[in-house]
Amino acid sequence: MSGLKLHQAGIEVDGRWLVRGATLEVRAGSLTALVGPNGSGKTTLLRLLAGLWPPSEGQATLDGRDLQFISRRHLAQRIAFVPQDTHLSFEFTVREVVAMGRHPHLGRFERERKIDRDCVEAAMRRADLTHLADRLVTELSGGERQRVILARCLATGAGVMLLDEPTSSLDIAHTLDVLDLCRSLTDEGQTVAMALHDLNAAMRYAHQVTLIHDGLLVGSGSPTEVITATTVKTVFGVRAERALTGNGESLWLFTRGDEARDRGRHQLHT
Amino acid sequence: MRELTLPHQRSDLVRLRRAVLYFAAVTIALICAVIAGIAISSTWIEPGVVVRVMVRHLLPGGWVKLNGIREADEVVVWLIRAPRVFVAGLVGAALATAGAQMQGLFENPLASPDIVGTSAGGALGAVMAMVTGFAAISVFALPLFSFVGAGVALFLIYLLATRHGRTPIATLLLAGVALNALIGAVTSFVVSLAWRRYEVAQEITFWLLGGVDSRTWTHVRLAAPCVGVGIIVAIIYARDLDILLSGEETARALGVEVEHVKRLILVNAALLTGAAVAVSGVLGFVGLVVPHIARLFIGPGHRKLIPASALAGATFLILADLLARTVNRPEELRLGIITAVFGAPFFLYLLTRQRRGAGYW
Repeated sequence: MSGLKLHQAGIEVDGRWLVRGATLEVRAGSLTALVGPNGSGKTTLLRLLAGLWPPSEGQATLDGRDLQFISRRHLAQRIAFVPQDTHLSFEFTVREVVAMGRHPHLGRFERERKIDRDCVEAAMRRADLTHLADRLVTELSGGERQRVILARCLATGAGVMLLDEPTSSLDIAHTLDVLDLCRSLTDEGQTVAMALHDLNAAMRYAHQVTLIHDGLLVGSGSPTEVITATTVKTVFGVRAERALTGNGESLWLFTRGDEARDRGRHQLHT
Repeated sequence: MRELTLPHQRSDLVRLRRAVLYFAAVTIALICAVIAGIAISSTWIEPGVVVRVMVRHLLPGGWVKLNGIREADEVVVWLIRAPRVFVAGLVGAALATAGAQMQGLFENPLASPDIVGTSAGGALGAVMAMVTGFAAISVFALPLFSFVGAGVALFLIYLLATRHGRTPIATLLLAGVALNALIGAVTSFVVSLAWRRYEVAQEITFWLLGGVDSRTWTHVRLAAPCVGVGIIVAIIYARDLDILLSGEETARALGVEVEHVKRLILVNAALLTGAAVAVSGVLGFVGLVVPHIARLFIGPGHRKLIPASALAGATFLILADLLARTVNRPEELRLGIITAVFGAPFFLYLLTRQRRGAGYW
């Protein structure tokens, strides 16, 4: 069981608090979505959870141990983190990139052992990449690359995966691929937390949603508890309406909610 | 499977085959270059004689007899020509390895010791050693000073051009231009202080032009340990360099001690550059061109790229020096002219490719 927690944690950079007083538990075996407007502190929150930035206040703990006292190597064996702009612009093969995930398990003078190669193969199988293993990552589509990065995370064997907007540059089909994969990983016991912009995706895929606004956590809980017309209005400043699909699922529809402007647009079109 | 799978070649097999071919070809080329470099010069010495003399001296005494070889030939081969060729090989290997490391560290295809001013820094250090007279006191002063000079220059360029772990190409080049100009000015100033001591000034000026002529085994012994250590350290940190290519934050998340690794690679590149500059002056473009050619054959993985660059760098510089000695006989061209003639067009080619946005190396 991996218990990743923040206790009143915050990050201050140049006198500005990017995140303040965050208390959060990333539940083991669940998919947690971090939602909030641009610049609200989602990325900072993930960096705190990954132990990449030392908190200016409070602490981040893994199984009760402060992340700052765990070595980078050991942390990398327990927590995998994917920043939003991961570059894969070099002509490595898919297998080579996934194998980088074994780095935290290898000593400086060690070469890959059988168990490492097995982990790499298993990770590629899980991300449906086996048939692409020997291709160059530069030849892949955006969706395939994102799967390569997820496979590298899996290869680390870390129980917790932290992903910063893993779907931001993908089309609809690839977005669904990645989210489906993440969801099924959590069904197998993996813990996933991701920053996400698409509130409807958060509703459908996440077990837990944390809403962040101006560096403060304003809501945490099940998707239906956290994402409501009221919270969306306060945090994003847009009007949210619930719409029912043909098969009974509900979706959010977002509009400006600005009566005057809506009228103006209407007149322009007629 | 939603993606359309196009027929493709197994990239890993293609690459493995290419790597095996590459290492075999370059090793053979290196051996041939060494023999040719010693055999061909003002007077021709039979390759058979060259090989026998070399083997006789490199293997334990008495294994190979030198029957029928004139003593004069032995002296020319072993004491005059061999050290020159060995110095050229060591310098080529050092510059190419430093270039490969710097290109990985800066994530930038145009990074290399000469372009960003590391070699110039090393040269300034060496000039200081000569002017202050330390170089005359101890043979270790020159390499030590050029190592420190190269290190300071490399650290400065890193501070100037790198923001949040990224080094934009334009920033790196501009910072390199500025640093090269500044170091050049300081070097000229230091040299001008010494102009009254005619011999020192002449020695400095000649040395600054870059070359490996009249080098002795002392130079080989001076450079070899630094170059050896530098290449081995570069190979040991190959995996870290590979991962750093995915970006600093990713590397940190994968357990790489980013700050430690970067510092170590900067010091290592400075060690290699300093050693090269101390025995050969400033030679341009070797560190830029050679890693690119190696990468073309064996891919970006540093575990293979570093030795591939070192081997190719050694071969390239030995052949360039051979050319410098023979192209305009009996006069010798400066070696730096030859490397620039080959390197500068390649640099321009890389630059235009970058401007067209044709991806990365």
